[in-house]
Amino acid sequence: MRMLQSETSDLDLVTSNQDQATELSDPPPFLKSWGQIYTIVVGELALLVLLFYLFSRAFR
Amino acid sequence: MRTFDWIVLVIALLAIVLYGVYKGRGSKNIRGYLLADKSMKWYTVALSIMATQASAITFTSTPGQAYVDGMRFVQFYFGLPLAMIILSFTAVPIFHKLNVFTAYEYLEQRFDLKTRVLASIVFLVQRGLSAGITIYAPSLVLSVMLGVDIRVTSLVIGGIVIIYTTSGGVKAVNYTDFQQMLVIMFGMVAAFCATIILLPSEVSFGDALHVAGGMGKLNVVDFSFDFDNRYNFWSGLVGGMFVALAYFGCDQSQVQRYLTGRSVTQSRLGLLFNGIAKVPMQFFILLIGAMVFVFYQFVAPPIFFNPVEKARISTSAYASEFSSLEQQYNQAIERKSDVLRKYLAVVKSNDDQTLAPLKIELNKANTNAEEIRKGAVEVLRKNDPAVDTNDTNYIFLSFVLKYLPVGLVGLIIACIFAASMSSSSGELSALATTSVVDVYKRLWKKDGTERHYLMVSRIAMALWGVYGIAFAQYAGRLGSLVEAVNILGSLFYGTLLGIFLLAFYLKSVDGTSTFIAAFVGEGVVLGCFWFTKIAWLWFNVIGCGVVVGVALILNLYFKNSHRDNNKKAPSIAR
Repeated sequence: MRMLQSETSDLDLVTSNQDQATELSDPPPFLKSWGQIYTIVVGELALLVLLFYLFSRAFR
Repeated sequence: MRTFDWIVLVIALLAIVLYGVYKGRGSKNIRGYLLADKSMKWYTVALSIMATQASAITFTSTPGQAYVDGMRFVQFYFGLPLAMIILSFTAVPIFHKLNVFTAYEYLEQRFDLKTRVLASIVFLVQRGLSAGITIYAPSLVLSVMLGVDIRVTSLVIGGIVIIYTTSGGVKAVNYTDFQQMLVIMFGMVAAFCATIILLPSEVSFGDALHVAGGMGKLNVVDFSFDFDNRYNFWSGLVGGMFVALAYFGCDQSQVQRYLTGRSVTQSRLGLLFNGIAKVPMQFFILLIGAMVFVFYQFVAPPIFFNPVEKARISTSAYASEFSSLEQQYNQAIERKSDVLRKYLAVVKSNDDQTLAPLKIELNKANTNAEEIRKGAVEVLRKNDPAVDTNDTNYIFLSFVLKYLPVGLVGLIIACIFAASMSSSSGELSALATTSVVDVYKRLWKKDGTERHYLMVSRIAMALWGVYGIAFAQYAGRLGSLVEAVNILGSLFYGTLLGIFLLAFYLKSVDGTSTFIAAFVGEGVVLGCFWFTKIAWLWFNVIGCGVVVGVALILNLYFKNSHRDNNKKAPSIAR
């Protein structure tokens, strides 16, 4: 009985670790990878800096 | 404020409290109370992060900053999106995987107990001081502008926060943050539209941009590099990134927001949304300030925006001198607006030859008005040498109360209360969590029941709230120390960030090396603060760099001496 409990808890642990590993490597809900989302964030920053620069120049 | 404004304000505040208490009900254990059972969706996490970061001073002082100094302050946020990305692929998975309550709990798993306790104490000291200021600063501004005693405003802000944080814990904090952020966004858009409508009929939005730009207020990006220049592209990108890494990666008031995400994905999306929205949002708030500046080029602004100081001088021996300067100032503003109208007509006709001399004339008229204003400030100082001559915090609210339509004034004041409450509640919940999890539960009572820790967490929330209100009552007596307290916060972030960078990336470095390096790093930052003129944004880079560098050297030294001891040990045995 005790062995059965121990096996069950080991199994739970393995499942939980697998769940965690799956969750950590989950793709984002939009786009294919996190890399693409990070690229969008950096791209938006670059675009904003460019627009701010043009904005500053246009009304200097 | 008129009756309808008070009704709008009271309804908004009541709705926030009731919603927070309703949504936060039912926490049975500290996981529910301090981590909201890790049940939050990404948009709640995102708006909660943004609401906690945006204090009331963001909305009272930032437009004033653009009015005085132009829009260059937005550069301070350029490093934030990069920090969000770094934290998304480092801190978020680690904190989720280890299932921690606080960021400092992770430090014990990675290093040792003393490093965890050191980081917790640094956080409690720094955030504890700023919790008082978070309540005090908006309470002061609102009390001055509404003519209500500061004890009332600080009790309203602090009291409401205590009610919903103590009853509903972090779940209540996150849900109210979400709601508060929506109120803030709506209020800011409404304020912007009202400001544009209030401009003289012959001045379009494009004209207003030309006026603001011509008078140096649209200086959004500056690529020149200068260590002493507080806001340029480089200090914003590098220094701002380090500040954001420290604030979002090591400060429990922010870490707790994304720890409540229901998965790594939800927490990551919350952080990344902040990375996308923060820069445009700050740009927009600064643009409101620039538009208020344009408005006051055609309508005479108060010579000094703090009404209490103006009232004081009007009953002093300097009343007639001040009043005469006020009249001169109004005339100077009238002359300036005449020149401006000519300037706009020439801008529209694209006549560059006429534009250049007009620009010079405009600058002269502006300098003349500024000189008169400086004279008035000197008179205030003569009357009271200890007077606070910085009226930046009062510019936007003065404009709102005098010119915005009824109802909208109540909404904007509700925005400021909401912003103040969202930052305060985030701070209180983080201070309570760190006090209970990292100090009480870890060092004092390790074997308590869930019910016991839940009760202690509620008490800690309430006590930190009472402390914040009490601090707000006496902060006025600290005078310039209030500013020093704000700077104090920035002095610790570099060290904290250094500790966390070592923990995340340099697995070979041990706890003792990190612990000693933290003290060295803090010493260097304090040295820079006292003995150099380096802009404070760089303190975070310096502190972090020293902690990492010294820890690496010490680690090497300890390893070598350990190896030597191991070599010697057998010979002793022989």
